[in-house]
Amino acid sequence: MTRTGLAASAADSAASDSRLARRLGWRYALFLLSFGALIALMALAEKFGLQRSWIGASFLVVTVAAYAFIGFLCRTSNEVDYFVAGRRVPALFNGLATAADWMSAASFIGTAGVLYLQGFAGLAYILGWTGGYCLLALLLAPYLRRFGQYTVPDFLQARYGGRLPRLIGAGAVVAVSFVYVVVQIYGVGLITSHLTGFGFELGIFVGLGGVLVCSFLGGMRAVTWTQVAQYLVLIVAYLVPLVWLSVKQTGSVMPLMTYGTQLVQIAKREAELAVDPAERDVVLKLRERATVADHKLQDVRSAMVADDAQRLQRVAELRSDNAPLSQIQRAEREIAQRPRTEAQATLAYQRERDSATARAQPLAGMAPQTLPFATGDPAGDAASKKRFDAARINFIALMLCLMMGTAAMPHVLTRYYTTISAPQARRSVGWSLLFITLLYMAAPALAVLVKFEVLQHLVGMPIDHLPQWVSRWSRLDPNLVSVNDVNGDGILQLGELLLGGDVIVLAAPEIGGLPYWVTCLVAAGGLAAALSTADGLLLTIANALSHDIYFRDIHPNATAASRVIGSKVLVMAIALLAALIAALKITDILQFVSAAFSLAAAAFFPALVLGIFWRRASRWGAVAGMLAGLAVSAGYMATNLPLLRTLLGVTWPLADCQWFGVDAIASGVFGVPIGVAVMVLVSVVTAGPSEEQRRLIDRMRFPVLNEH
Amino acid sequence: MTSAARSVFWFRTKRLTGALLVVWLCVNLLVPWFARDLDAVQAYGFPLGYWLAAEGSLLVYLLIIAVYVVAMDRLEARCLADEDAAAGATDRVPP
Repeated sequence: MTRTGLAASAADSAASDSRLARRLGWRYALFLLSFGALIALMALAEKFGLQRSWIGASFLVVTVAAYAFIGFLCRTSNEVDYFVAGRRVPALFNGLATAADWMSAASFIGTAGVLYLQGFAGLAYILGWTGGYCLLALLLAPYLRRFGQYTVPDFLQARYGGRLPRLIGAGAVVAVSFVYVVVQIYGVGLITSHLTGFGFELGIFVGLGGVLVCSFLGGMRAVTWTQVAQYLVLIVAYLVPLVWLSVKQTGSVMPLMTYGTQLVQIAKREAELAVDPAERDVVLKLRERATVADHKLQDVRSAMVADDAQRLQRVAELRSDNAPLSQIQRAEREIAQRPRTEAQATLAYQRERDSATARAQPLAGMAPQTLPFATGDPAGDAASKKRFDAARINFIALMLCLMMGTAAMPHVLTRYYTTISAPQARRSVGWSLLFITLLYMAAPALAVLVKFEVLQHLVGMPIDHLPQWVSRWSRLDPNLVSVNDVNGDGILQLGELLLGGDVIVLAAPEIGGLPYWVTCLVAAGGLAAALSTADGLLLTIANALSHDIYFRDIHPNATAASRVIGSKVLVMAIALLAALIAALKITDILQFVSAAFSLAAAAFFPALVLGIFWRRASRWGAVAGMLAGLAVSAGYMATNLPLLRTLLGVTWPLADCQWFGVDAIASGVFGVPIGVAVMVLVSVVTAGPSEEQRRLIDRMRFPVLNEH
Repeated sequence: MTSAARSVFWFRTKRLTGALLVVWLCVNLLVPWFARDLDAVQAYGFPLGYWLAAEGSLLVYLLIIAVYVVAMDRLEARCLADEDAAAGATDRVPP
């Protein structure tokens, strides 16, 4: 082809790309408009007295049906469409899809909750989950796009040769993504049951239907275009309650610029509550409870007998005093639900002791909202100084670990294979970060506005007149919301209110006294966040298993069509497996999410970055580096996480297992540098890359004509 | 690209990437480390340390990527134009 011919065809394809982008723009504008119409319709319906369960169900059914419809329209069995959406996704839309892919149930539901409970310390998540995109843009995305192909293990195979790097990579992809997908499906179950009143298990399977329609029918192509729609839903659902609360509290429509005033109010109120006599009384009473529970644990059997007698006596007293029926019923329910065996009773007393100890702190054990590293004080005594430094180091360690994990998450890396070119991949990371930042800047603001509402209005209310959401949520799950009049004065103290992190966002509209349709809107947004991430993850796992393992090692001569079918079958199987595990409702699941970040960082970050930027990096270096990074991260978690310690029977004292006082949650911060060091050492003493691999490095590094 | 042009291009790419990563790392380390001290200053209603961690750093991240996108586009265009001119001078027809 002559040079003018090349230029003409490039201009042609650029024109068709911009036509495509315009057409997509119109379609999504239409989608957004219809979504607005749905919201308006529901708001009206509520005014005219439509039943609450109908409003919730409408939001659920209509949004999931819309995703399924888009998925159905984009159904495909073409290989390039299925694995990388035809590589024709414009940067802006890939940014939107990545943002939805990235922001999971944990981001949507959990982040504001963590900020509400932990204050400044929670900002480590905000920084980690956004700052990682700089690493992605500068070190990985454009290079991987120039490499082409379909998956991260593909890259490891091509760059390092041999089977081992690819197999280790595929194994790590599956492990990391599977942990993460279970959490998403758990989120789907929580939201569906909250929105419709279905049981948790049924909720999981209803939500799963929505996930499967997309990834099953249309692979990456369908997932990409539904994710764009899901981003629009989730961001509207997050910003509506935030702006509304802000207008209610301060009259400002720009909460991100003005919530500082509420921050100052909260600090003032926190100082008041810290010296409030009633709050102090609650703390003392809770400490007493913890001591009593501890005594009961010394002799569980006689404590059970004494407790039973006391409960019976209380019912008799209430009856003879002619107390209100509800009080008598509550006392009788306590008898019906009392622990019956010694093991049950031991567990119950332990729980009582632990929860009372945790809550017998000023501000119910919550950190102050703004003060950084409040556990210590740099101007205080030596112990206090040490705690301050430990908190500061842990903040930075967790932040860096999440950043490297973000840049190495396989389901996000795959997204940049779908753009048109490497320059478009760079832009696309920028768009992704912009859309992600919008939600992550809103999360601290929402946490602050909700806290203001709780501290200013809820605390100090008579317990008999608490708003309805308190009883509704505590019926749903008493571990999420519960109220207990510890000092018996009939007034709610902060120390008497348990508000779990997972309800802060979902219940924010109710806490702020907004109409019920806003609650449903938020739930629909949470569902969009969980579904979009689950879709991306399922596809990544299925591709690793089918594309990277089965069809390379076991059945290499398969046709393109059967590869796609194989991947589809796997998507189905993995989704069912993940749903079964999620239905077990394993607690402490968030620990596993952070573990996934550490493992992803340790497994991929050194091998990917050095593979691009260091010519000498060799196959055995990569293998040793990946294994060493994984081993250090996993080992650090095994010796430091309480859950894994008991499971594996680790007996070394915890203090000896900690390095520099860093928590297990940030173990990747050790895994990555050790992985790099091992990789460099082994690479230097083993044979360097082959001629073909050197050409690949050049192809990734240098632009070609007409790429733009 | 000739090998000389390549080494110039790669050197400049590494320099740009390195410089932006230094900015990134400085923000990441300095903001949390001095958060308590920065809080003494007020930035339009927010304590400065809190604002930098909740919003300021995020804006810097966006800026880093924006600078990278623009600078890399220019760098690539310039290197390709040089190559094109060189190819034109020797009157080689591209494949």
